[in-house]
Amino acid sequence: MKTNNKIQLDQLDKSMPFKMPENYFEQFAANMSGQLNRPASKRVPFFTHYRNYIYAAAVFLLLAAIAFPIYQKMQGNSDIMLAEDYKAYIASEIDEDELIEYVAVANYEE
Amino acid sequence: MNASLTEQELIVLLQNDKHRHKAFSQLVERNSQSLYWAIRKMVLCHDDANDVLQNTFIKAWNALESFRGEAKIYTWLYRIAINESYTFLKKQRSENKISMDDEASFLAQKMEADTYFDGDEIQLKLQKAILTLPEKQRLVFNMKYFDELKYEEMEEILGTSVGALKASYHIAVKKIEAYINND
Repeated sequence: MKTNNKIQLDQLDKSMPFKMPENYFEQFAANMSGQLNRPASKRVPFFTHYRNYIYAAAVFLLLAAIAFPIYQKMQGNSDIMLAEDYKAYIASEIDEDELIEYVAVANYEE
Repeated sequence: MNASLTEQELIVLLQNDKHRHKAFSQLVERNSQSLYWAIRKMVLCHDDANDVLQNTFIKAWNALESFRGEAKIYTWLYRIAINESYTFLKKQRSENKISMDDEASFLAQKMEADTYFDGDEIQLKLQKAILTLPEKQRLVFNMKYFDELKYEEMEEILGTSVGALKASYHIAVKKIEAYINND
């Protein structure tokens, strides 16, 4: 029914356009009861639950503390080794006579 | 357990370890219908409403120890139901990457496709009009128009003043009538 051809809210049917499965609320209540019957999961203290991970992390940190200085030293040595390798490579690529001539010219220009 | 327990008696039993489970089952039986409809009007689909209703009671069960009876049981449950509905809608927006502007059409499509939607043309139009309202206003409208709650009851549940609720409802009605009459 319209007033001035406009629908007004209080004139509409207020029944909900929604339905649900048959016996829904009875089943819901039974289902909820079953869910609440399940034993509540025990609260495990943080340390107990993650104990193994904490131990593993501690061992890892200890190894890292020992290994890191050794690694740094080895890095230094390998830097030296790399430099030696590079010198050897350059030396193998350059002709000795060319090197002597270069040094002589360089000294002359200075 | 006596089916006609008063509110106070029920609260006492809920605080008692020995009787808590049975008392809570009573609470579920007494309140599940009205809470279901409050939720359903927000989330629209039966399966979603069922999930949110379950979550509501699970939350209530887990929060029983902190419930001291300052508010009525139904008020307390209603607040949990509303919060769970909001949480559900927010999660749905996030999972489906929907903006709040697009949510109305998303929910309308979902509602029409729901097996448990049973409305005629004008009911569908009304629901679509309601979906255009902001979430809180939609809730206020549903509580007042469909549930016919008094503003004072709504104030207790929502924590919003009667004046603000009246204004919100009045604006909602205007918006919905404009939508329905705009062919």
